[in-house]
Amino acid sequence: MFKVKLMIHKEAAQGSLPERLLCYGDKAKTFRRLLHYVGAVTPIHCLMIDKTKLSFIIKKQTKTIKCNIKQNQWNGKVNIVVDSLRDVVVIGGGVVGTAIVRALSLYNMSIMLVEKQHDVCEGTSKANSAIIHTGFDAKPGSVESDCLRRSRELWPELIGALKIPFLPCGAVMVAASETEKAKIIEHYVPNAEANGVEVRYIEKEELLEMNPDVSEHNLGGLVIEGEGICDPFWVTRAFAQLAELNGAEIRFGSGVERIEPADDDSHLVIVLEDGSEIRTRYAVNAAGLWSDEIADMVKDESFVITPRKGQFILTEDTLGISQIVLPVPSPSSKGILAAPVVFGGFLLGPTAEDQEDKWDRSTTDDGMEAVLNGVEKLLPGIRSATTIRQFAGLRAVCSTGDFVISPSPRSHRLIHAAGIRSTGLSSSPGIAERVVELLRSTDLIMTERSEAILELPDLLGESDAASNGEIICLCRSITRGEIERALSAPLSSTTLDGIKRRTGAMLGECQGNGCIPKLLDVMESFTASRGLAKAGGEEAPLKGLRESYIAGQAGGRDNEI
Amino acid sequence: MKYNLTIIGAGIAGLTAAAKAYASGLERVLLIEHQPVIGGFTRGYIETSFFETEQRLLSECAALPYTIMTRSTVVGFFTGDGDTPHQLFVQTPTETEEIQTDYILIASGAMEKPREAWRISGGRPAGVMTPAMAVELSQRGYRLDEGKTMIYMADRRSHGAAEYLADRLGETIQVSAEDFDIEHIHGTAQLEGVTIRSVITGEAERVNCSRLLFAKGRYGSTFFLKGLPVERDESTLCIITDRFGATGIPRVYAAGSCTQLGDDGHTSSIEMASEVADHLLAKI
Ligand SMILES: Cc1cc2nc3c(=O)[nH]c(=O)nc-3n(C[C@H](O)[C@H](O)[C@H](O)COP(=O)(O)OP(=O)(O)OC[C@H]3O[C@@H](n4cnc5c(N)ncnc54)[C@H](O)[C@@H]3O)c2cc1C
Repeated sequence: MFKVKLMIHKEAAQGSLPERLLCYGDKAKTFRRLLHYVGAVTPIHCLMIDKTKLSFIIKKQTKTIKCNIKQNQWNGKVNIVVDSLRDVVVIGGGVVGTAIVRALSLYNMSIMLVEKQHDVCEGTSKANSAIIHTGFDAKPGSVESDCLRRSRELWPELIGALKIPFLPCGAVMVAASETEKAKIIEHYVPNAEANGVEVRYIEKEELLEMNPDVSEHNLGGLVIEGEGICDPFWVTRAFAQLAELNGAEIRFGSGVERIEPADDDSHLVIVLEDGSEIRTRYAVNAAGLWSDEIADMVKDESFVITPRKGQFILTEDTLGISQIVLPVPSPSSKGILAAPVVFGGFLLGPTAEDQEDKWDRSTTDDGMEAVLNGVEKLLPGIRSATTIRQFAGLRAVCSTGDFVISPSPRSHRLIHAAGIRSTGLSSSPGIAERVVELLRSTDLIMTERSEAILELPDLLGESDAASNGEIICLCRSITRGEIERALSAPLSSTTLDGIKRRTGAMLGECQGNGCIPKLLDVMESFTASRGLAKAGGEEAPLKGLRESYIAGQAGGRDNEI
Repeated sequence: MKYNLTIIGAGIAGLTAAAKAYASGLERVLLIEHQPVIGGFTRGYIETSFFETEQRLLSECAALPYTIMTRSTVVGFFTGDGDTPHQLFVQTPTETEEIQTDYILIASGAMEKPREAWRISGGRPAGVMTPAMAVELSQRGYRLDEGKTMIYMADRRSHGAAEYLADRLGETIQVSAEDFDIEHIHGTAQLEGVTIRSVITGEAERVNCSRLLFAKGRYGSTFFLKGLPVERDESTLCIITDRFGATGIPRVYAAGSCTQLGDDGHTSSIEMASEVADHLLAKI
C-alpha cells in the first residue's frame, strides 16, 4: 500500500484549510485520498500517517495546491475545487454514531461526526453491561432483531480488525422455579429459534458445574453460547479512530443546536452551539437520549425518548461463575445479572429506574441495595464481595417501542438511528449497515473507497523504556510516554477522563488524586509544544463532561484584569 | 554501582533512616524518590504548623551526601539469595535502571483514601478531591477560590491542607470527621452540594458547595510490590512487618506509613523509622 507522510508547510498549517478538497488530473486518485486527510483531519494527525514524504503548500486565496511526492519521484500540479458541502454529518459520538461513521468512511464521501462532549463515548455507551447480545430474546420481526441478526455476522471480523477485547463466555438464563422453567421452554426457546440463535437447555448439574456460585435451588438454565463481553469504550473509540484514519472528520465539543433545511431542499444547515454552521447533504441522528431533541429540530415529533437508569456495582473479587448469569426477565427490564468483565472482575446490575434528567447518572444507596438483592437471588453469597466501583447508565426508552432507523417523516435529509434502548452496543454494526443502505438509496454517489483502511493499526503500542519516561500514575505504573502517545494518537482527547480511558491511568486506588496534578503538567507541556488546543478551547482543565472543571485556570483571574 | 542500602522513598521515614545511616558512617546509600523533590506525600503541608518536626528533618537532610534519584519509581525487584544482592528495577525519566543492593528499606509512604473507596453514593462530578491534590493544584497556580469549599477534617493532613490553603480558597466550611459522615454527592459535571449526616444526632443536611476536599484513611503506596513475595494487608495495601521493620524477606525492611504499624496521620513515621534504622544499621 502507498504510505505517505504529510509534511505541512508552515503557511498551510497556520491558515485555515479548505473544508474539502476535490482533485482532478494525473494521479488524482492517490491525491484525493491524501488530500482528504488534509481537509478532514487536523495537521497533527496527518503527521502520523507515516514513512515517506509529501509536502504541499496551500495558497488560501487562490485555492490552488502544489504537491510534491518525494519518494515517488513525481512532481505535478493538481487542480483543486473547494467544496464545503459535506455528504453526511453524523450527530452523536456514542457507539451507534461511531459505528455509522466507520461504515460511511469506507466510501468516497466527505463525512463528519459532531459530538457535544469532548470525547466519544460520554453518553450511554460508556455505562452499560458490556454484553454483545445475540438477540435470542428480541421480538422477532422487529427492527431491533434485524439489527442484532446482522451484527451477529459482522462482529467476528470487527473484533479481529479493531483488536476489541472480547470474552466469548456465553450466557445462561437460570430457571429458579417450575414456572420460570416453563417460560424458558415455552417462550424463550421458540423465540430464539425464530431469531436464528442457537440455545440449549441445561440441567442443574451442568449449571452448577459451570457456575459453582449459582444457588443450588435453581432447576437448570438456558445456555446462549453466542453471547459475550467486550469493552464498550474500546469499541466506540476504535470505530471513530478507523473512521478518522479513513478521512472522516470528528469534531468534539460540537453540540448541535439547530437544523435548518435549505430553501431549495438541496441540503441541511447544521448550526452548532458556538454559532458555526455546517452544510451537509444528509445528516444522521445518533444522539441517543437526545435523539428526540434532534428530531424536534426539523419539527419531527414522531417519537419521544425517556431515560431509564441502570445502576451497577463492579467487584474485583473472584466469583464462581464462568458465564453471564441472567434471571428470567420481568416485563420492565432484562433483570439484574452478574457478568465477567473483560479486564477482570465482575459486573453486577443493572437496576431499571425511570427518571427525567438525561444527564443524572448518580448512584444511590437504594439502587446499590436493589442490585445486591437482585444478584443475591442468582448468587446467594454475593454480599460478602467487596466492591471497587459503582456507576450508572441511562437507557434511551423510546415511545415507539422499537428502534427508529428511517428518514424523518419531516425531512428526508435527516436519517434517524434512534430509540435504541438496551442493545445498542450489540446492534451498532447492524444499525450502521441499515443506515448505509438508506443512504445508498438516496441521490448520494457512494463508491467504495478502494484504499480504505479496515484494520486499526497499533496506535498506542508499546515502545522502548527510554521513550517511556518517568512513571506518572503510581498505582498503575503508567509512564509519561504512554500518556503522550495517547495524546498524539488519532482521536485524542484532552480531558482527564479521555486520558484515563485511553491509558488506564487514574484507575488505581488513589483514583487520580495522586497523579492528576502531574498529568496536567504532562498535558500542559505536550499541548503547548504541539500548539494544540485544549478541550473546548478551555484554559481550565476538564475532568470529562463539559464544564467539569478540575480547578480554575492557572493564574486565571489575574490575567483578565 | 552496588549499594549497601537502598531506601525506596525519600519521604519522612526514608529521610529519617538516611540521616541515621549517615550518622553511622554508612557510605553507599541510595535514595529513590517518585516525586521531583524530597519530602514525601506530606510535602505539600510541610510548611504548616502541623508539620514542624518534619520541616526540621527536611532542612537537616538537604545536605545529605547520598545520591537521590528523583522522578524515579521502583517498578519491581528480584530478591537475592544468601549473599547475592537484591536487584531493583527503577523507571527514571530516561530509562529503566537496574540497581544492585544488599539491603532494601521500603519507606514508600501512604496515599490518602479517596471518596471512591468509601462507597459514597451520588454523581461523579469534578470538584471532589483529596487535600493533597488540592495542595498540588494550588502549587501549580490552579485556582480553587471560586465558590464554596467543604473540607472534611479527618486527620493531620486535612488540617495541614486547610492551613496551607487558608488564603487560596474562597469561602470554606470545615466539617469534622468525628461529628459527620459524608453521605451523598450532588452534581453531574461540577459539584453542587454534599449531604452530610451527623453521627451524633443522625440528622442529614445538604450543604451546597462547589469543591470538597475529602480523604479518610490511607493506602500503602506499595503498588510495585504487586506479585512480589512481600506480604501486605489486603485492604490497606500496607506492608506487614515486625516491630523492627523486618518483612519476612531477608534483608528487606519497611518503615513508616507504608507499613501496618504506621498511622493515617503520618504522626509516628519519624520514631518508627529511627527504630527500624537502628536495628537495620546494626546488621549492615
Ligand atoms: C444499564 C444499561 C445496560 C446496558 N447493557 C447493554 C448491553 O449489555 N449490551 C448492549 O448491547 N447494550 C446495552 N445497553 C444499551 C447501550 O448502552 C445503548 O443502546 C448504546 O450505548 C446507545 O448508544 P448511542 O450511541 O445511541 O447513545 P449514546 O452513547 O448516549 O450517544 C449519544 C451521543 O450523542 C451526543 N449528543 C447528544 N445531543 C447532541 C447534540 N445536540 N449535538 C451533538 N451531540 C449530541 C451525546 O453527548 C452522546 O455522546 C445498556 C444500557 C444501559 C443504560
